[in-house]
Amino acid sequence: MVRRLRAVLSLAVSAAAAPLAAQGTAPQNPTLRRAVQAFDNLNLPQAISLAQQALGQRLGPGDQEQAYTLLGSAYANQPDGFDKAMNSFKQVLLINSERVLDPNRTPTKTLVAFNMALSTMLLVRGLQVDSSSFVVGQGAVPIHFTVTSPAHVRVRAVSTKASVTIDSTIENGTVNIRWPATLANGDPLPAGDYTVVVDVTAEQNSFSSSQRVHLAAGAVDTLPHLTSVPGYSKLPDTEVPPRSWRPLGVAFLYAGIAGAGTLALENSQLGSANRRELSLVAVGVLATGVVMMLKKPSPVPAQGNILYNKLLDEQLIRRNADIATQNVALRRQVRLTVTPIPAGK
Amino acid sequence: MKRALLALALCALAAPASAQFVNVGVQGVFGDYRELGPALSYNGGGLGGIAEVNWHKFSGDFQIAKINYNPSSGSAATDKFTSTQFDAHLRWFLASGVSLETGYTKRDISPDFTTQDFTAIRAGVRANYGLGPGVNLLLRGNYLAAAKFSGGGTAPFALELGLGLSVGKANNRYRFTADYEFQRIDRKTTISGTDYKVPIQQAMARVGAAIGLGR
Repeated sequence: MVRRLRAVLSLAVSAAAAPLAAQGTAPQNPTLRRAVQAFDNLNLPQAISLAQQALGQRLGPGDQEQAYTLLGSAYANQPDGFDKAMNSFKQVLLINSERVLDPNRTPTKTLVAFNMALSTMLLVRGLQVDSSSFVVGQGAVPIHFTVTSPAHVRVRAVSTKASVTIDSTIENGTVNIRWPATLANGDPLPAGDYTVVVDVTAEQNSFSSSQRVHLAAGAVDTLPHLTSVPGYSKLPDTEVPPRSWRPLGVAFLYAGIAGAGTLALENSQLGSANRRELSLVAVGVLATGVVMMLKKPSPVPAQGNILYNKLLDEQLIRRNADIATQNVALRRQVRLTVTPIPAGK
Repeated sequence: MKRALLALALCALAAPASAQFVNVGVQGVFGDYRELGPALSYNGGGLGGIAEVNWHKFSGDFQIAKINYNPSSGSAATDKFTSTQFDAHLRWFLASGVSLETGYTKRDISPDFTTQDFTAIRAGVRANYGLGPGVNLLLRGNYLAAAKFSGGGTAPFALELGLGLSVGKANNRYRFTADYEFQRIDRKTTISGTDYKVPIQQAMARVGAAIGLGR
């Protein structure tokens, strides 16, 4: 019978010490070490006394957490110590919101006190951004976390290059969000390091948790703009017309009209004129006609070619506008890879 | 003559401010002048000038020519005279190089009454055909209306015929010009109740160079 009692007691002590053992590190503070030792020896009043002494001293965050955990565990197993246990666990959670107790190795009373403390606080726990790789518009980054009380939750991704709101809603319990990693206009976020920040607010209480992630963007193959329409080339805007008799013909016509007109208009009463003036100018006109006929014609605008070139230009502008539109879509189809950055890096 | 030259110069100076293009040039002038009958015929030469303005569908020119006429060989005339002729043309472009033309012509004779001073208003058409860049042929015909003579009389039938050539740079900066003008004026005068035909005929050639100013 005595053996049996000893065995039960030993089991209870080892279970009570489980929350402390879960931390895995020995306390730095000697008083706290003595408190842990007293707790291990089931001398709970001495453990409480020493832990409180230790808290009166300068402790690191790890020792503080351990001291409050010890106090919570000790109070939980003391008569009328439940409220004190809860308050101690609240302090633990304020120091480390991610703190959990192993339900298989923790006494029920301790576990109840811890969970009660947890349910009365507004916390974001277990914020996790999953590694993912996807093409923009065809996937998203999974984000999970737990909100311990009903609260307004706002999730943001913040970097020096951009800041976007991922989600804003009222949540409680486990929250799963899918982050498309795009800007408001649908363009992918610029590559770089981002901090995913979860802000929760309920009345005057608020809490914030964050996780840094690295966003890498894959190369984008955009189409180059065209400088000419493939398979078509521009035609010269001018063309040299073939030689023609027309200049000489017109010169003959003009000189002929002037000569014939002069002959017709000459007044017979005045005798025949010497026509020196007419000859001088008419010879000049005819000579010019001959020269212009023999001369290589000057290039003249080729209306057909000009229209053809205009159509080509319009086609080129249209094609480049299409390419620009395609490039916008291609730039949005970039592959993004999101990787969480471990804390402390 | 001085007044006419001054007007020509003023036109050339004032025009570039508002005109699209202005040409000014100097010309050597040759003339053949006949009046009354074969016995009164003269020929001679002299100098002339031109200022031409183009503005949208309008164009115009002022020409002046001073010719020293001498009796031609075989002529019974004995007196020399100087003819100073001022011409103004104003044109409105219709289409295909054809323009309506109007204007004024005035010929002063010195000494007075050697032959007839003459003024008239002209109205007609002008055709301009481009043989190539900077090369143009001109043909014009005008009726000379409201003719007046220093010795009196009328000219119900008075015509003018012109042939021109312009060769120069395509931008119109420099041009060689040649212009032929033939006038037939059937002047009639009445002395003591009797009508007399006193026809006048002049052929004139202007050969020169012009420069383009303005835009």
